Amino acid sequence: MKILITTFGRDEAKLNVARRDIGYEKLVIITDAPELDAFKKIREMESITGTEVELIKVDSYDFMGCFNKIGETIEKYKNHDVRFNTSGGPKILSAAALLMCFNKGIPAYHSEEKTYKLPVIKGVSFEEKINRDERKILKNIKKECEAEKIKKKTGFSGRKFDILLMEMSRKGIAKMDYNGKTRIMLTPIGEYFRKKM
Amino acid sequence: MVTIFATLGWEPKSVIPSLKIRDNVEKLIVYHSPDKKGEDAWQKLWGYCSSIKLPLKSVKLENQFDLIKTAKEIRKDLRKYAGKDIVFNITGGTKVMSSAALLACILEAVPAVYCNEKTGKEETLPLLQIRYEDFLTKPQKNILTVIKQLGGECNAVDIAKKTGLRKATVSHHIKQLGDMGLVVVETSKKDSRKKSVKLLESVELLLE
Repeated sequence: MKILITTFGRDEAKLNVARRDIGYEKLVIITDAPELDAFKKIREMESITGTEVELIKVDSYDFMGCFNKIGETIEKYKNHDVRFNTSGGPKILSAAALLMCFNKGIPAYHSEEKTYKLPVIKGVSFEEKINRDERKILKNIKKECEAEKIKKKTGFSGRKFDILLMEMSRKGIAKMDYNGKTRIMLTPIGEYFRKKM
Repeated sequence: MVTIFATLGWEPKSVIPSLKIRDNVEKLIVYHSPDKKGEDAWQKLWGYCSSIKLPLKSVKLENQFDLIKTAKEIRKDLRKYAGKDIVFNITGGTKVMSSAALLACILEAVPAVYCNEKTGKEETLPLLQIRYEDFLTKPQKNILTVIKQLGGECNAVDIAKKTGLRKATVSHHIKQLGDMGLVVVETSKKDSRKKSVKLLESVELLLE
């Protein structure tokens, strides 16, 4: 089934362009304002053709909350043909959707007056770039901790552990603080991947 | 030394937290609309930066409603700073400006931040620091580049001639690129017996 997931805000103009240009059999609307007329209008229009509309409510001031909710929604429809319109709603909701589409390799569109297909590589996920050893380290970090403790827990040799930390830092998964004892801190994307494990 | 890039809206307040929390800011580069409100915001920011003697560069976005053109323009600038310490604040400006900036950051693996409206604090966006084009193989990139050089639309024979690859190999890569959603294969308008391969406009962002 073709599922169009879309971010949505206070007016329906952009979503109308997306509804015209992107095929779908079910519409999933992610919004912080379902109580407004715009959402009601869309639901009313879709009821004419009997198209199912699902509502996902988010708090658009909470970026990571939006990001995670969008990720869960995509996961829910992983066995379907998912396409995502990222143009609706507050900027921060759009940004969360854009990042998640690239993160998960979901075809993404940006509908304004016309619809742009974004250069997402379908089916290619950022997670693929994290190898088994890095995952092992990630699993053992709780947001921020001493590198020495993680080294003991994971059993990597000193040199290999240092190389892995450098690589994780280069990829933006973790940051190091070398003030006295080396500490590892997860970045927001590192934290997201750790939670998913 | 860090260079801060930012999209600027009608008020400079979303840019300021990025300046305040960092030590050793070398330069600020802002993208803004050419209209009066955009100019006014730029003037206010210029006043602030002058007072702290911080070099400030302004880039007027003439195509501020065209996502792909804006992303291309920003990406070109980001590439000039490859390997340097940079960060992009995407909070200000229109939705298109902000999305285009984020798109350029994803493609070029540039750390992106935004200023939380409620707390007024800067937050880092969850973005892996790997250039997006590195997800493509060398032959895939070559074929995409050749399609671009041939005007964005051609057939497998043209690609084979230009790359020196066998037609079967080219067809295999085209099938992969089609499955990835980067090219569209359709019946040629000139000759209905042939198939033409079309590059999506935005895919040019993945190429050099």
